Formats: sequence, C-alpha cells, structure tokens
Amino acid sequence: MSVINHAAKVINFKVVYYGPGLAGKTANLQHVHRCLPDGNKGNMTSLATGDDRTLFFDFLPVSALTVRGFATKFQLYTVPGQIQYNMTRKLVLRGVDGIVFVADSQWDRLRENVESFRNLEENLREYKYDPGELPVVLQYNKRDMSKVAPLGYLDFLLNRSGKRVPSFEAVAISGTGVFETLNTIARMVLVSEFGQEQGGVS
Amino acid sequence: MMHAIRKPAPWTIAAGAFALYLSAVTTPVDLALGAAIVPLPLSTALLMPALVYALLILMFFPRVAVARRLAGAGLLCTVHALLSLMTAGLYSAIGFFPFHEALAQAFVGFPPAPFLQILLAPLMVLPFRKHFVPRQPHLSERLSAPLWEGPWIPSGPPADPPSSEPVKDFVLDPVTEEVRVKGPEMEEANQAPSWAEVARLPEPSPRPAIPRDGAEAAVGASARMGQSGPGVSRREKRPSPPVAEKSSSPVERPASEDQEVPGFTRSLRASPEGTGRRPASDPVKKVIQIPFDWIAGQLPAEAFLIPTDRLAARLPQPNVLLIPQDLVVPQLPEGVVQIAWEVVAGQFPEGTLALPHEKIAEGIHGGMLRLPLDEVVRQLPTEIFTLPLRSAKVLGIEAFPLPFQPVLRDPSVSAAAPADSLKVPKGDSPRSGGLEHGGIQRLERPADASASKSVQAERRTPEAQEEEPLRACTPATENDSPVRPVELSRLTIETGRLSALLAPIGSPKVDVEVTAGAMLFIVSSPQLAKDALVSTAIRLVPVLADSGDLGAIDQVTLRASGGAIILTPFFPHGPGGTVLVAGLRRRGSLAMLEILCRRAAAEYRDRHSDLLAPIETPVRERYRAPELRDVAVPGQVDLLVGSMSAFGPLTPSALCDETGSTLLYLFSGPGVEANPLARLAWGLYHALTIDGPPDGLWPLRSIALRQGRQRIVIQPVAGEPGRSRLLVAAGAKAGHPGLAHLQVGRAAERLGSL
Repeated sequence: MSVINHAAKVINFKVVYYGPGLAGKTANLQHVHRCLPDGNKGNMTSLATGDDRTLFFDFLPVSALTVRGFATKFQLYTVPGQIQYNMTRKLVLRGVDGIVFVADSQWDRLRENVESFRNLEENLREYKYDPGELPVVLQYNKRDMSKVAPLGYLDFLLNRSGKRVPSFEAVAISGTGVFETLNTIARMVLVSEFGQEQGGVS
Repeated sequence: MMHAIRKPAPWTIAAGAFALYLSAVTTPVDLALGAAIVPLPLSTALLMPALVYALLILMFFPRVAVARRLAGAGLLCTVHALLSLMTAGLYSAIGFFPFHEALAQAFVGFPPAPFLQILLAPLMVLPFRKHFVPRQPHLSERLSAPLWEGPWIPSGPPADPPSSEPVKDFVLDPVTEEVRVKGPEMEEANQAPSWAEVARLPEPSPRPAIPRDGAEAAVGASARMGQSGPGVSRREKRPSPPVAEKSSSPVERPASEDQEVPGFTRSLRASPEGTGRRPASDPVKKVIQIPFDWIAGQLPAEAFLIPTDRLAARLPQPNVLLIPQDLVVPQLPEGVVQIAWEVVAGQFPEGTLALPHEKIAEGIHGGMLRLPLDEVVRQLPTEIFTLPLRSAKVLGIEAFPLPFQPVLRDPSVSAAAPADSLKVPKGDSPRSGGLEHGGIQRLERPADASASKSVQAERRTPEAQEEEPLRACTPATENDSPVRPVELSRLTIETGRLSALLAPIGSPKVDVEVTAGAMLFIVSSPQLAKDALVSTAIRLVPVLADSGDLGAIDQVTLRASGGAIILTPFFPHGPGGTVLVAGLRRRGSLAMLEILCRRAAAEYRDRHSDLLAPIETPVRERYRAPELRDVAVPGQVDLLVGSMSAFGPLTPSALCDETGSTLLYLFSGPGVEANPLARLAWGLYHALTIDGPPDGLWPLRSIALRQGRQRIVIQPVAGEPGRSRLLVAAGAKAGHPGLAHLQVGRAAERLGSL
C-alpha cells in the first residue's frame, strides 16, 4: 500500500498495469513517459527481451498533485504478461494501490484476457487483497484493429466481479485513452487514500 | 419404472412391515377379548385416515404436482382399506369373531386396529416412493454440476437402434430458428444419435430445407451433455429474439411460417407449431449457425470424400452447421467457445466422410472444435451480456483534478515509420550507441533482433532523423517470440541457479524483491536483516547508474560494523534492473563471496545475451553530487601517498562541495579523473547518510568498488564534527585488494588523528 514519508511530505502510490502478453502495457507507460512534462516524470526503466517482450517489469515514476501538503507520486509498473512468469507478477503486485487491467480487444485474444484477469484475482487473493475494494480500471486496448469485440461483450467478460469498474477504450500505441485511464486510476487511488473530501489539493 | 418395481427390496420391506402389523393387531385383540372397548365413531374412522394421509403427502412432497398428491393420498387410502379387510379376514380365520363382526371390529370396533393401519399404510408405500415421484437431484449434486463438461465421445461399437422407431416431431420456427421437439417424445428425441443413426441420415433435399436431421443431432447431443445453465433458462424466457435477422451468414430461411419444407411436411402438419402457436410445455432448443468453412478448417484434411464446397452445399442447412445455443452460452464467460465433434457429426450426409467418427474426433487439434466467437456473439441477443452490476461511477474522484496533463508532442513521434527510414544515433560508448529519447534508452540490440512497433515509434525522434539508416525491422509477432516451454517459473530457475552458484558459501536461500524500479536477488545470512540489504541496495543502485564519466561499476562492497553487503549489477553498463545483493554478518568469506557474485553475474549475462540492457534506474536528485571545487591539498595528505603502494602510483588532490560540508581527499592513479571519482564517492556516501543510516549496519567503515581491474576504496575519515571527510583512493593496479583496503584504512586513521 501507499508509502508515506512524513519528513519529506511525500506519498508514494504503486499502480500496476496488468494484462495478458502483448496487450499494450508497456506501450501505455511509454506514451505516459513520452507525453508528461520533464518535471513530472523520472526515467523509465525497462528490461525487455530481444523481441521487446517485457522480461521482468517496466517502471516509471511520475509525480502528481499535492494533497493536504503531501506531494503525491505514482510508481507505474507493468508486469510480464506471459503465463509462465507468475512469480514475477506476484512480486510486482506486492503493495499495489491501484490496478489498470489492459485487455486486448481482439477476438482471438479474449481467452488470454480472461485467464490473465483470473490470474490477477488469484494473485490478489494470495496477498489478502479484496479485488472488490482495490481501485481497478479496465482498458480495452487496440480498438483500432479490425477484428475487435464489442464493448458489451468485453464488459461481460472482464467487468463482472461485484461492482462495475470504470473502463476505457484505448489505442495505447497512439496514446488514445492512455491518460484517461491513468488519471482515473490515479484519482481512484487518491479517493481511497484521502476519502471523498478533497481537502487542500494544490 | 417397471423394472425398478420388480426389485425385491421394497417388497421385502413392505412384507416385513405387514407381518409386524399382523402380530401387532392380533395380540391386543386376544388380550382384550371380553373387555369393554369403546368403538370409534364411524365418521372418525373414515375421515381420520384420509386427513392423516393428506397431511403426510403435503408435508413430505411439497413440490409435487397436485394430481400426483391426490393420487398418492388415494393410494394410501386404498392400502388402508385393504389392510382393514385383511385384518377382518384374519380375525375371522383365527376365530375371534364371525366375518361381518370382524369387519366392524377391524374398521371401527377395535380402535388400535385403524391406528395401526394408519401407521402401516405409509410404511408399506414408502419403499416405492421413488417410482411414483420423480426424483429431484440433490442440492449438492446440482451445485457441483459443472456448467460445461467435455462431450462424451463413444468409443465402443455402435449400437443398432430399434427398427420400429417412431418418427419424431421436430419443428423449426422460421422466425426465431428455434428447433422444438414435441413433448411426448422429448425424452427419446433428446437422446444423442448413435453412430448408426448418424450413418442412416437421409440425403438432403435439393431445395433449401429446414435442418431437421442436423438440428435433431445437434439438439440430441446438447441434451446428452446435460446443459442446463442459467443462460438457457434466461434465454427461453425472452420474447423470441430475431436471431437470424442479426446474422449475415448466407443462409436462406423460409419466407413464412406456413411454408412447407420437403421431407418434413408430415411432422410439420402433425404439429400444432405448424400454425405458429407454441404449446407452453414444448421444450425449445435454439441454434446458432456457424459457417462450415470454419469448422472444416479444423478437421483432418483426409476426413472428407468430396470437396468441401460440395459437402457444404449438401449439408442439411447449406454452408452452415447448427450448434445448440445451450452448449454455447455457458462458455461465453470464458472468452472461447468449443464443441465436440459429436455435436456436428450428425449433420454430415452419408457418404461424405472418409474416416470413422472416432478417427475424426481424434484428429481435431485439442479434441475440440473452436467456434468463431464473433459469429457466436453476433447471433446472440445483447441482453445475455447484460449483468446486473452496480454502476461504474466512482464517488468522489471529481473532487480531485486530473493528476496528469500530457504536453503536446510532435505527432510524428507516435506515427508509424517506414522501416527503411529508421535511424539510430552514432556513438562509441555503449550508451550512446543506443536509442535515446526523453530519457528512454535502449542499448543496441543484436543485428538480427526484431523490433516492435513501439520501438519503431521511439526511433522516429527528431534527433535520430539525421543519423544513419537502420536496416528494415520486422515487427515482432506472437509466433516469432521465442517462448520456450518452461515448467518452472523463470524466477524459480534463476534463484535456484544463483543458489547453486553460491554453493561454496553454503547454498544460501535467494529471495527476490521488486522495489523502486529494481529487481533485487537477495542473498543474506540469517543474522543480517533482509530489510537492511534492500534499504541499502535501493539507495546505492541509482547512484551507480549515475556513475557518468567514470564508467560502469562491476561491484560494490560496503563494510560496516553490522556486516558487509555486496552489490553486483547483472548489467554493469546499465546498472538498473537486476542486481545481486549479498549480505554477510561476518566478513570471513567476503572475498570469496565477491568472486562468486561476479561469476554469477557473468553467467547470468551469458545466458541472457539476447536481453536488451536495462535503460536507466531513476536517479534521485538529492543523491546527485553538486559541483565540487578543488581545494589545496594539505601537506599531511601528500605524505600519505607513499603509504598506499598497493594502488600503484597515485596523485593526491582535494575537493570540497559548495557548502564545505564534505571534503574529499583523492588519491587517483593514472587515467583516473579526480572530479568524476569525487562525485561518485560523494553520491554513494550521501545516499547512505542523507536519509539516516540503514538499520543494523552503521557505522560505515568503507565502500569498495571494482571496475574491471581498477579498485576504488572510499573511507570516511573521523575527527571533524559537522563536516564529513572522505578518503578516496583509486588505482588501476589492484593485484592485492586486501592490502589496498588495509592501507586505505590506515591512511584514514592517520588523517583522522591529524
């Protein structure tokens, strides 16, 4: 969960971009890194294989607004989406404050989406997190592809646990929907930390 | 049912109960003869059994139809009357009473008799209850029943069906395309067709026909699989969705409900559905249409005797196969829909298949036919996908402004670039040879490595436009990716391998921690807290990444009073990402541990030579050294040069930060620049001190860095409160690292005493 440095007046939140392999998690972070002003971002760490598959994780620290005198910083992580790398995913999930589930909208990737989402729920349960209480945002990526599932069916597949969570269409490679997703998960994390009272945002 | 009634167990129980009754009803009469017994009123004797039986039926069979309840009560009353008659006969035979008087005694005159009959009648009927009341599955059975089960493929020889099988009435609603089976024959119709039935399927009519046989087979297979998910019942309740209207598959449908279809006229006429009316009790089976080509592509190529286009035309429903919806709907939440060969086997006309059905089923990849999900979803009503969930609105987020506002960039950055125009910057150093844009950097990949779209986009940076062209790169695809079948998680393999490599110090346990953008493989002795290692590592790793002009650092060894920590970046030219962190409480085997860690890192690099090196680890600004200025070298420092012979020839210098709070005495060998060395030393020292010392380790004794054959030792110098002094020695000759460390320690002591 969030790490508060009272001396430095900084709160660090951890947001993890989860999803199946090749869904566009790293593309999200790359776009965020590309488009944020220099003062609001750190350097992006990425460890990828020769074919650009994320090996361990991507990491991008970004700073946001100040709330009640505390500077809020978000550490954005991605996980390796490939099925066999579950230990890495579990490690990255530890201490998570919010999750963006990046789904591949293409028909032939729906099964991987469902399996990845179930894997997410399972890993969260192992950490005793309540998936219904943790801020989660769904991003239906690759909407620019030709054979994509309708939003209603994607919601039926992924947005069905307890209460409906916000979902966004996205084309991460061109940036569409990336900041909408990020801003929503960031604000949901802030609400869960500070409550619904804004209390001195600057 | 009759077979079940012929079972001996219920009869044995009933006979036993009857024998007990006879003895029970006879003994009291024998004892009571001559006594004055008050008979029951006739109305009581007649009404009481009926009321009791009715109550029993109501209590124990609450969900049975009224007609069945009445029949049950009637049965019990009948048994009661028979028992009374037999009791009277018994009394007469034994000689208690004449028959007419015994009859009165059995019914009303002797009260224990009717009471015993009321008790006995249910006892005798109870063993036969299964045969009169349809058995409801137990709750646990219903809960444990899977929504979807794999189909059953018959493996034995086909059984011949009865020769005089009646014609079943199936009706396809021309509007909703629902296949309905008439009620009285439902049970038989829902039996899956045997292979013999399948083989005797009639040839299709030359004109478009309602898929009687195909639908029959599909419906039968569906029923055999026991599909009864909630989606089915929900679907049956909805008002006749225009499934076919939403479909664009090339299927000709009857123009009206009254249209007669060759080969099916008799059934259609005989059924009331021919008029469009639907009896409420008729089961409804809906189907979806799947293009034959899709299925044919998954079947063994040698499965067909005739070309697939001709076979498609000869299907009961030309060009499509029919799949019962109740097989499909329960699978929809899985994101994939699969069926067994058995489901569609009955729709292939006789003489079109070259292989037996078992062979065809075996030849299907994975044993199941995958259906096109887009076709399936398109043919289903949207209300199936509507879940009764709470709103997606998140209360309170409007109270916070948007935390992140993107700045507009050159749209060409994210646009796809022609592969032949991609550029890379020139440069000699490993970092400058990579691709850099806005802080994202990747080291140059092998020439044969492929690139993803995202990296191509990164490469279209303005800085890169004027550089030499990069040869064409092919975007990586799922099939290209070298995903190897890994039984164990890669991390398990890595930690196991590291543990094995470190076996000379006792095969320590290796933990993995992801924090602050770094993945740390942690090897710790039991006496040293893992948190102290992690805390130290995440402070030092960013500074190492910022070593700048000094070059990559291979290894850092931190000695403190609480123990020693060795940091070995797996990729020295980009120290972020993965780092091996080893801790020792005692320093006895420190040198060996250093060697083993370097070996482990080298082995890791060799195995992962296809990796792109890590980009950068975030550098904390406050650990970054300020500008340092030269100050005069005290005379005592000059004298210490000769005492550090293990480093080879050294040149003394002194630098101080702007505030004067940190003074560095430098002894640098040939080719070592003083300023970068001082900045690195300043950064490492302040990373360890600025947020307070790591728990359990302080006070710091020294920091030793290995850079190829060069050795750098940083030693705090005691003696001046409020001001930090560091002695830093760096020499290219490091043949005796132990001696070098000892000499620096002595020199620092002498400086501190001055």
